[in-house]
Amino acid sequence: MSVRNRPYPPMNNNKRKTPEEIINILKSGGYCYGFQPDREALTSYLAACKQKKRPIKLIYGETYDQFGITIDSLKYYFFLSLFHRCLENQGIEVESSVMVADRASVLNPLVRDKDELLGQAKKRVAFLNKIIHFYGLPIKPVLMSDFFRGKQLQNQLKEISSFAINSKEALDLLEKTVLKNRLKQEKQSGFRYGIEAMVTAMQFNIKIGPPREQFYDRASNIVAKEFKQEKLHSVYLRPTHPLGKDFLFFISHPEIEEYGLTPYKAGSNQLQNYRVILGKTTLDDLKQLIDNSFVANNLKLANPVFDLYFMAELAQKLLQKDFSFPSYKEDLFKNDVAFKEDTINKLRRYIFSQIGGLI
Amino acid sequence: MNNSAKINQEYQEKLRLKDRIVHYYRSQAIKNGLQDLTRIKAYLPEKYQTLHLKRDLIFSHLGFEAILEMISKGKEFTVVSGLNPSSPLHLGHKVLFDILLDLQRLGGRIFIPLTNDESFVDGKVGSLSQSRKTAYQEIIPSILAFGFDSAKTHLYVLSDYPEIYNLAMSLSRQISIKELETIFGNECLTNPGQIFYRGAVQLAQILLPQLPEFGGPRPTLIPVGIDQHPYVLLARDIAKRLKLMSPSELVFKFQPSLRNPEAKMSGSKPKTAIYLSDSEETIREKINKAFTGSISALKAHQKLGGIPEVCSVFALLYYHHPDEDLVEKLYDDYRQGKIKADELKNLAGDFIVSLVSEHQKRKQQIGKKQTKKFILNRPLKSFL
Repeated sequence: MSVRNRPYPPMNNNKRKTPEEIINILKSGGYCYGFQPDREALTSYLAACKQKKRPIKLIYGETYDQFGITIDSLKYYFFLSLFHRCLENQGIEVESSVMVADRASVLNPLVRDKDELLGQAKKRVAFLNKIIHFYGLPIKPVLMSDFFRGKQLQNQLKEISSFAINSKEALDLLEKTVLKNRLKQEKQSGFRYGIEAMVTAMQFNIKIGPPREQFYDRASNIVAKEFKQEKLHSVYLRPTHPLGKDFLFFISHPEIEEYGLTPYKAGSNQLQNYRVILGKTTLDDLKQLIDNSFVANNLKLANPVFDLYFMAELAQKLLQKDFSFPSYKEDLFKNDVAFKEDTINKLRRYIFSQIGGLI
Repeated sequence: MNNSAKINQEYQEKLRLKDRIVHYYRSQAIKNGLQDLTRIKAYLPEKYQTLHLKRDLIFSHLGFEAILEMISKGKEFTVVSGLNPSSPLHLGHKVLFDILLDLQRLGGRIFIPLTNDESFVDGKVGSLSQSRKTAYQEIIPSILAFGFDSAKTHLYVLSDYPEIYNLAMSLSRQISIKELETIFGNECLTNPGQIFYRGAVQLAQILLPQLPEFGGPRPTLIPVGIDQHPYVLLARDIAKRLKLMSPSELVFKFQPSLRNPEAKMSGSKPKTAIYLSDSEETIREKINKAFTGSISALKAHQKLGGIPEVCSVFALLYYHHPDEDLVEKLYDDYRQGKIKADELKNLAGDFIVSLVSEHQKRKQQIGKKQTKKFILNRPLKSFL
């Protein structure tokens, strides 16, 4: 089925927005966690690229685990695509990549069956290609193992690595990317995972990612300064939180509440039963997870149902070729029963029924 | 000093007073390693938000998550809150009983030990029998007038429940005199009675509901004023040693004295307190003489506005009036100088008089038969 043949009416709100307007919508829309170095720097950077006709390279990178592809990955694919379209509308040349971090996924010594996991990368890329085709996404998948094949990048990795492990400032930040029980292991490996993540991001201009990645990105900018490279800009989306949990979970797990789970790893914090995994989670499971989820009445608090609502709306927009960012206010959650129902309907219509056959 | 300078000085003094009060609770929380309630309040569904949480009158906690888990699962938990029956109940006590009622609504089984032994060893009463009499004749009917559920409330006067002393005896070897001195300071340990009370009897009250006779270890919550925090710390420590559940703590702000917002309303200082047994005339007289957050010169008050945070009269409404919108409007109006101190006193007077008179009516209806249902007399054998 071709995207062009979708029966939805065309939307007429594709009015061109300035970089400042785009970033302002992101800031106040209710789904962005923050920016790195900050919102003003990103706005100025975009304005300068527009004026000087400089191309921009966007990146979203993800590792994965054996549990499958989370619906949260779609949020990043969709957001990246919409951001790409918005910049394109400005007359800016944009290239957007989704880095499938096969190398990074098997770096952890605790990971079993590394061959199987490496093999899954190709399946993910194949799935991503189907999503790209179906929703008409302007993004391309890149395998990290292919990306790092070039000698130039290998040399850069060595150089940056030897600088970073001697920079207290960078190391302090890299330590914050690791759970306490993994710190020793990461130290022994010379923070290889973190340094590869930094070096990858440094090959791009703007990164989209979850909030915890701010520590990598801040470290990247310390390195960028040292090596006289251009700063990396980042846009962080709201943290990913588990579904099917009541208010108490978020009170009792402050770290998960603040930074969320790893969106692209279903087994993050061993909460795979509280995530939506594409091709595994049925509509009935989804309904049950949503019904049992706590819905906060404040956009600043954890709200996994809102996250699902947001990604369903992005899917709807992309299918309808409406390349404008949405904006949300707390009114949306006033009636949590209706909000949950609405979320289920949107997910069914714009994601589940669409990609059912793609997995 | 001219008039304008005097006004400015008075205003600045009240502002400094406000800062000191705000700082007091913040620093107490930090010094005592207590946890902030902001995150909990942000996530707590409306049905669990009590008035005291909403108004920040409960300002910090230790381990409250364990209690929230029980609340969210609809399971019962225990609440222990002792009372020293040395004087009739006043509005400061009402703050505690309102909190206990809310906790009972949320699933709490309430234990209220009336510590007439403490009143005696601390020299607050002339004899044990005097404090016992006050407990039965005055305090217990007044507590029951708040409307506790007899199936989930247990009261006991310590001298009439000797079982507690057996438990205290068995706990007494868990703590050394040195530890006691570190926690309470020497000034609170001047006679053997105080040492036994602080080192063992108070502990026994807190840990009693975790005995097999009451169903064994279970989450227990102790709502306290900050001055009682050392007792909870000690109990948490001993509970761990005995493999019982560490009691959780909710710390509430004290009802300010009518005369000095930095001090607490005290039963032993009648001018600072409104007793639940006071007459209308007495209540109005006390409120009229209370410290306010207004500047004495009316025009200056209207221009600069009042300071509700230091106003003992506004506090009467803030701590007790259930109407959220009204209290919020009064706060704004007072701060903007739209309400004069006299008007606020009249409003507070009307409200407190009606509140106290309702309480007195309910108290008169409490008979001995009803009281009996609440009195704990269960024998304790598990540790003997």
